[in-house]
Amino acid sequence: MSGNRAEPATLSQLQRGVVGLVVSYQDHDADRPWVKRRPATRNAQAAVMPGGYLLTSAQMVSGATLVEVEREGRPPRALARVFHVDRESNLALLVVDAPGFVDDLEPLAFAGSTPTSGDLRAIRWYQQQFELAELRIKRIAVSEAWFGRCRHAYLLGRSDLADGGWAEPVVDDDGALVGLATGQNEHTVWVVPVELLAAYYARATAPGPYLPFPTVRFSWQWTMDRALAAWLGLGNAPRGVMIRSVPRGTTGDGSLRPRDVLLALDGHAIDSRGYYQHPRWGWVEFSQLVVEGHRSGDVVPARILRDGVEREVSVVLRDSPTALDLVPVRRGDDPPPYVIVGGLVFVELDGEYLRAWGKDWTSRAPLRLVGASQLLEGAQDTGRRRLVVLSQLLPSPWSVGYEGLRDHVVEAIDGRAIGSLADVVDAFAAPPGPFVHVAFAPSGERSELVVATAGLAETTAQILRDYGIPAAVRLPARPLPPLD
Amino acid sequence: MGDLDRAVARIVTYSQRPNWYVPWEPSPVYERSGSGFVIEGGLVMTNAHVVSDARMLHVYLHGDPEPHRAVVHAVGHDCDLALLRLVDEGVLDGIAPLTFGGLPRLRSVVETYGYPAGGRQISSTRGVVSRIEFQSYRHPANEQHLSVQTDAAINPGNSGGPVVQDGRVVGVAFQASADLQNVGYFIPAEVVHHFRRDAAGASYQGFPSLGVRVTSLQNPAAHAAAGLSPTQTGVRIDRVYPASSAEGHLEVGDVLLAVDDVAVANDGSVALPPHPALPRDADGDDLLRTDVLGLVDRHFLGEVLHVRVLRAGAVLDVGVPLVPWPGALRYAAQHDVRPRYYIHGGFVFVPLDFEMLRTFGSDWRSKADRLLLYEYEVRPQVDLELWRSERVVLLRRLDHPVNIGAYWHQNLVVERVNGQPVPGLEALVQAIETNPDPFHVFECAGDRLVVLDREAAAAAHTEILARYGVHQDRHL
Repeated sequence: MSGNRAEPATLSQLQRGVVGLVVSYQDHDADRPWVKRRPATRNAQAAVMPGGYLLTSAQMVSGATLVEVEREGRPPRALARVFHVDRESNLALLVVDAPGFVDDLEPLAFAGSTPTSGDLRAIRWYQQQFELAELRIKRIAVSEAWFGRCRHAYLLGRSDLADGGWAEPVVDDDGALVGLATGQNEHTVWVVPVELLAAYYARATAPGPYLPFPTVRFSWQWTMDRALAAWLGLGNAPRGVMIRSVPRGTTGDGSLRPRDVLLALDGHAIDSRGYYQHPRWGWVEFSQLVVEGHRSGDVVPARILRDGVEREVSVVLRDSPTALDLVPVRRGDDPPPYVIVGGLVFVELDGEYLRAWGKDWTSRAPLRLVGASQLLEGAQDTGRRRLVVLSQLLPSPWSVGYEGLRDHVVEAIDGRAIGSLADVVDAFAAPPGPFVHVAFAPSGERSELVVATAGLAETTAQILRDYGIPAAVRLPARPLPPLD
Repeated sequence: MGDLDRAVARIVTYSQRPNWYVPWEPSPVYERSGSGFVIEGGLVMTNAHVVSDARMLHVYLHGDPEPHRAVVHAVGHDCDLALLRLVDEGVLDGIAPLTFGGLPRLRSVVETYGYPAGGRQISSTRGVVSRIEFQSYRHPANEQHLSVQTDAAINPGNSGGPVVQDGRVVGVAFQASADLQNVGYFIPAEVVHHFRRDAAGASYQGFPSLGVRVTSLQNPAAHAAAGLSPTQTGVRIDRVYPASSAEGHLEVGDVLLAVDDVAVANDGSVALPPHPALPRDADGDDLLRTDVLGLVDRHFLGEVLHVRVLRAGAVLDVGVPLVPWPGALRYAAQHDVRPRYYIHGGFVFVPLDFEMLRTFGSDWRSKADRLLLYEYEVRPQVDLELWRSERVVLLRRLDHPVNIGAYWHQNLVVERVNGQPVPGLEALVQAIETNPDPFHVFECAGDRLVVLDREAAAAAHTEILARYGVHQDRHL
């Protein structure tokens, strides 16, 4: 707990502008997708917004089975429900239906903009106490959202807040909301700035469909190397960034090409390290340009150097929901889909599955899966929306000889290309002969697996009984968004 | 003094093992000691790892305080065996050479002899033969051969010492288990026999490999789908590696039924028949079931391996000429060689191989750059053509104004140089040194691009070498 410099009036205002959240949540077991793990509770914060909305991070309500709100540290708690969540930017709005609960709360005002120097305060309710922790502004940094794919600016501050990042509101001397803390590394707290919070709040509460934040997903490279710059035709004056690849359906698709040099975007010149001059924050990575003040679908001008010639192109800004990744980094709250045939357990490869190997999963998970997810950034196409993995094998006489087989990417079953779990169901529903051939991606330790059609249904039923599994199939809860 | 004791020697090696991260640099000299034993022909047998990268070798004989200089007569890094010859003639006169026995019976007693833990007095320990199986040999890193497990203590310094039963050598002590207590391993006489016969030729060739990946047919459906009758057994050839012995002779989908007329079981094992050239136990032999590779190991490069396969419903006898497989060497530790490298414009290029990966340390599997590791371990499984040629890595940069701007400058797998593919370090040198364009363009794995100004790099070359104390810009 640290200094408490706010004036009494302001303090009482702040106490009415911040609520505590007690979130019961339950994750699924990635390795046994039919099982939910032991329920747990997390304590988080939310900022009170006009209209009775409570602003927190998407991460705080992920997997939530029950959300309670605590007002000024005093019981009773009230139940809240998620009104809107944007996982990609890691923000969420909650509402409380209990009549009168919000009446003695006082919304925090949004600060006009994020300051770049001075001291702020991070606020939380902690063991019935109202805690104000000093937060000294360090700098602005652009990074991917703590929880989703949206790449945007963060305010980084040094603070004596202990174990922060649970959506603590950050306020200035006037008590205005400057940001929401969504992460902490030692003494450095990562704060989502007010520009993003205000835009999110306005969009999420506006009538009509929510228009998400666009983001940069294309990969790019510095041109500050004079040799590279000269080779690209920039002469002796490196500037702009070289595009390496543009994933399908994301910002720049259709207008930017590999080896283009992106010189300016939306009227802002980009330097040879990918920074532009932000009107208030100084030099900031250009990815922020597409987020701030924009929504998915906006079209902005870009100046590029292509084949040695400068030209103007129009770039359509797109959001990039992780659902459109071949290997989504998060699945959201939907239960993990799976298919069990005989003892073969098929799942869709995603970040949740990989993170089951622990914090250092990139070192511990099979390299073929890490490679498929991180290194190769494989794109979806209409025939392949997901990588299907034979995750494990529940032993039975039917599958004898394959014990220990794990984590092989499935390419085809009986010659039918596999691009989703539904394909697996279909392939096993009508096997063409006495045997089923499962073909694995060449990255694996074996190229195929052959099992008998005979006894398949009985084995599946027996496996469910023997291993206590409630159902053989759980397909994705909702269809994937269409590919453009 | 027993004859046996007299034949056991202490070997002291002064070695200089290169550092693949600074491949141009002579590294520090280390002293280590091991054991060996006198065999016929005036030779001393020991482990390859006792004498690898030696600059000077001393052999100390039992009861003789004088060091005797020795040179490596033959070395088989793939089976961790070496033969030494003493520089001065006549030193071994009067020492009865040890002779070799066969494969010891399970649970029979063996004795190890050697100079463990740097001691100067001979030591012997006794234990039983616990297990005989195919096992990884640590020294070559990528080899498996027959190996005998014993509970006789095998400690550092024991390496290269004889393991004796009934007065005859049944193996050469070579490694202990890192995880298990009282578990040591020795190289059985059959592997020693292969090494000695091979080493008797003009130059040591090494053990052959087939170059296939097989999968079991223990599952009844897989067994039937492969076309086997219920009484037939075998394993499915799941992959045939390019540029290996099997290429052009065996096919994916073949079922390997027998090797040298020995039936292959559905799990890929064979009942290993007694080695024809080794003495047999008077009381009979144990049933020894090993990986089918145990049969391949009995052959030499240049021989033809007799393989019976089921292909498209027909049983075929196929002769597979056993040839060297350079692709597999990229996964082997290197010894007694100077690292290959090429430096241009301050960029240090090396082959993508086991020693390159080991520059990340002994725990390179968790420490190495993920993309690099993927390119090394997974990519060649996805793109089999990569087995045919060497791949090159931009290992690091010697900082200089001509290269300092490059964002990526280390651990990059180079895929094309100046638009040309790079099938090896020499090809990279050629592509750089014959490039007429004003820039060298390196396209690397992961869509990463590195560019050097050709004239600036050439002009700075000598200065960079001098600044970093590099005497030669290449060793190819």
